[in-house]
Amino acid sequence: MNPRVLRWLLPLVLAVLLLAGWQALHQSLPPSRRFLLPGLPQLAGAFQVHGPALLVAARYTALAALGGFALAAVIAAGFSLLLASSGLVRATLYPYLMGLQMVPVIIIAPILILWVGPGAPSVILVTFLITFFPLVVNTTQGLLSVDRSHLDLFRMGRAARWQELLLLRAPAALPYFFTGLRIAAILAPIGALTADYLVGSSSGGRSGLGITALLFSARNEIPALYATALVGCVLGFALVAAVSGLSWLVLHRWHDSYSPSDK
Amino acid sequence: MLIAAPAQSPTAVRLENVSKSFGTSATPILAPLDLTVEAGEFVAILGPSGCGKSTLLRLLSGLASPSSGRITVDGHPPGQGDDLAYVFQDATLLPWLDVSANVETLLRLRHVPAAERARRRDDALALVRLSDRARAYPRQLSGGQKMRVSLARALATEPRVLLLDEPFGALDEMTRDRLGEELLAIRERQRWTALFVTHSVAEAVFLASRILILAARPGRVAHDLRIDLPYPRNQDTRRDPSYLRLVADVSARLRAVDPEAASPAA
Repeated sequence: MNPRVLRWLLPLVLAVLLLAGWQALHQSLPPSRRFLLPGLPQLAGAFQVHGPALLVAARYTALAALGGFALAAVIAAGFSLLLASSGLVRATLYPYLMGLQMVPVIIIAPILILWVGPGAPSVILVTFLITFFPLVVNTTQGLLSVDRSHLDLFRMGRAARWQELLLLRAPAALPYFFTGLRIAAILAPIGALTADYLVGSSSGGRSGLGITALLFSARNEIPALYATALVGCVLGFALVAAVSGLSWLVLHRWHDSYSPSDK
Repeated sequence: MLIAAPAQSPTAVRLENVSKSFGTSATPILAPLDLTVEAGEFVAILGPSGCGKSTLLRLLSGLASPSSGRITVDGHPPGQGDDLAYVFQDATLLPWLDVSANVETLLRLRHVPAAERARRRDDALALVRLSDRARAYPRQLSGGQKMRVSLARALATEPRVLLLDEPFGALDEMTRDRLGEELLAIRERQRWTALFVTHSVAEAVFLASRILILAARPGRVAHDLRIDLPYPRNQDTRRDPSYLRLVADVSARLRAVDPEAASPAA
């Protein structure tokens, strides 16, 4: 069969199989336990009932995730250039960078609320904290992983340090930056959702998927919880797809990961 | 587009008592070395591995500094004039730039104005006969084409001294021979002094007006030979009996210097 068709067909076949398996699992449970794994009709019902509310919440979470993600990407790019500029800077700042990632979000969430207020600002800040680290680590790695021979070329050409950084290291780091972006794209919606759960504000209809999940959970609406989780997944997929598209635009002409012989 | 090198100093490269050691190793990579290369010479450098061939080029380019002695390249200390270009073993093209931007890289580093950059880029691409590939990316090129772009990048700086470190070593023999012929043809139009490190005796004899055979441990000049075959040289040169005699002679000398060389260098 045409491999191009297969690339689309196989994931679809798997999706159908998974859904069938899900439904079979649901029906194999004793009726008293079936609420733990709602059947497909119940799920569809939950979407029908809560669809509009989920959409509003998803939009809110998506915007917060995007905000934190974009903020992290821009600051991480600058911060990585700083880290790559000297070993001394790296040795000085790296422990604190790791510390930033190790801060338990659950514990500092209430403090963040006090700092920047409840709702969107806190959610964006938490998303930023969660996505910043993988971005910086990958980008810095890329800035430092430059071909020895390319460095010789630039030294031969008596390049200034800024020329080496911007004309050689930065473009060489782009594939690494996009790897970081991809990881961050997966983490961002989860971060925004969790943050909303922890520090979100339900006042004035400005609540995201986290608050929504909290409410469903309190009301014991299991199918609606599943639906919420699914919407969260879709957000992650959408962001990853956007990053992949951007990565293709920037890299496909030259980077080996888009080599035509690979297709 | 004939670019005449202004007659500045007739001596292109001068090494006086130059040695190079790494760390505290007892045997230097290069023993104290005296060498003068006159402008317009094409010097090929042969020798067993560890004889310091590549080190010599790195010293001349300023990528490394000598442990002792004095080096001048076209009247300057290494790494200070703008008249030296280096062609590396690998093409070392930047994969994210197209051919045209790659050829301009060194000019950009020197802040050559855009119009001048474009002129020199076009000239250099014409010299290596790749004008029609200006918009291609390195990964779309063959090994030989990549090396020609690398050469164009060096030529675009309009160098007076060209250092070549086994530039054709990774290519198949046909491509290597053809690039050798092209290199000589380019040299008819853009005069530079060449120091060309190679493992191939045939390539050295075909290209060079002078061959240095280095010995190892410590690196030193074992033979300094004139190659009196007339230029321009071309495919016919490779069948010339005097060329073949020279290849045999140089091979024998190289083997004498390098007892470990089992197979005759081709």
